Amino acid sequence: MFPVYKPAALLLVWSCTVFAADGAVSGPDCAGSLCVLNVNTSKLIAPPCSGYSVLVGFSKSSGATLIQCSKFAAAGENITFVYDRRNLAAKAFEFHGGRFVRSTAWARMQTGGVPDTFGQVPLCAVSKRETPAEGQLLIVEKEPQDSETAPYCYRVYYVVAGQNGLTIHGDSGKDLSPLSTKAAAEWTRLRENLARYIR
Amino acid sequence: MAGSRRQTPLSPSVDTGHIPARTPGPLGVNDQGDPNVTTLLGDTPLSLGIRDLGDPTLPQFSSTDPSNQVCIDPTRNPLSIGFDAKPTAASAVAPQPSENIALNEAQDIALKISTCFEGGKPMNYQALEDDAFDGQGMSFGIIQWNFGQNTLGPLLKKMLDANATAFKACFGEGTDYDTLEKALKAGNKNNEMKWARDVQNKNHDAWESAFKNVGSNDTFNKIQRDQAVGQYHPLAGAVIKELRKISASLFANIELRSYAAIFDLCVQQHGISNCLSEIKKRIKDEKPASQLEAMKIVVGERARKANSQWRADCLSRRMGILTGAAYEATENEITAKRKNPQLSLVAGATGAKIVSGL
Repeated sequence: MFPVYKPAALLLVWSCTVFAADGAVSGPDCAGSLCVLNVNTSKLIAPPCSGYSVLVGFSKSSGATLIQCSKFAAAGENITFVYDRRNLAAKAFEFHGGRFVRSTAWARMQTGGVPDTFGQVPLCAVSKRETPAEGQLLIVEKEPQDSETAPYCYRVYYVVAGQNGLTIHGDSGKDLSPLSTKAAAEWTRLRENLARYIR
Repeated sequence: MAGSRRQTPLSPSVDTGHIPARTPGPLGVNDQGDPNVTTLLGDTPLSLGIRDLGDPTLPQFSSTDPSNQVCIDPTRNPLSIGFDAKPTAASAVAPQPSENIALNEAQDIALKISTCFEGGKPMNYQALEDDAFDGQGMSFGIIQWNFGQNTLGPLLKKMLDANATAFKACFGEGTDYDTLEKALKAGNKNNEMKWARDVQNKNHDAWESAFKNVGSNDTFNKIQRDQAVGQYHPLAGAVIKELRKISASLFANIELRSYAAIFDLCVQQHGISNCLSEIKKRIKDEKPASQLEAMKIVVGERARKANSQWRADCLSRRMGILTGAAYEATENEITAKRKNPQLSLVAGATGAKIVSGL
């Protein structure tokens, strides 16, 4: 067996290295156990994200992974797929209109808000907001609010990795519903294209 | 009088959005001498101590002044902070409805209005965010171009092409400028990202200082402004094309308030493709007598396609532009009344001006 598979394995490693060196992705760039990679080539991008910019955020301490598909200056049209790369049979989620932010920016978000297309937007007022764990994936979502000086605010959604898979919990108390198996399957090709870079 | 000085920093902090009394470049361009902007007090032709920085009756500048937190009212005179300024003779003359306005002026007005609606603050050419926030390498400028979405590289390349010497001069020691220049010239997003992350890690202050410099250069700021308009104007153009298909006569000429409302709709909702049939039906059934009435249908139908929590907000913004004043909208039991001092730019007969070149 070994003599048969060794060349194939070497070829696989070689091709990945060359592809990355060609700049297909930037990164992964890791801060603590939270890593980000940016997709630079449309060759890797498949539906439902054709025509979008793609960013991957993942935790090294859990299987929590997200694929963010975004269009510049149109965050409302973003689509983010959240899944457990260590348990692909577990529940996955689709988030519309949100933006990934690194948990390393948490302290700055509390005081300065979230940088938005036209300026800083504060976080929405909540009675108590949890501090994210190191390496936790976060998604923020903009919404209108009744204020003259700050007409919009951002809600925070936490991706929580537990023994039974992932959940997504909002700071408003709202939890996100998981995708159906059929809907999650639409992400399979893109997820598989990117899997080799997530390490 | 020349030489007057207020006992505070010459330039306010960047996040106030105020244009400083003095800026690099020729006097009269985007500074206190510019007749088109409202800015900080500085030297005046009068005696020192009268309506200038030496005036003892004025309050000290403070970054917590309410005037720093909101968009500047364009109807106030350039040196009006602290005074109830009288309008100039030129601004008091009501424009005739038949007057035209150049497209670039209309775009400038539209951008100011939308910026103020979005953030409640004026445009910030020096807005800067590092990679530690959202993993896009860095974000910069009035609409936060970034390397991750490959929008900042092309913008910086335009600046480099416009004035390579001035662009290079913005980047001091510790910024590894040559690597950036090579990446920009090659259009290599991967190397742009790598440069941004490396320089932020090695010398964050130098990186920050470089982009403060870029954002204080008039030539580069004009490129920012043009690029920002270029982001939304094509969408506005597509909307106008669709509206002309629905009614060539109503939309033969585009009024300033219509253009600004369409521009704002494109900033927030990106177009009208998902409500064309509703707009077409209502215009056919209701037969609006004017472009203004037709536009009310357009913005209303598009607002109602938004998520329920956004509808009142969308409608208030666009109706505010069309009517030239804050407009209270209620949709799905949510009420919004978005205020915006820049609405005066499209109020009254001014809003009925025809935009040339559309």
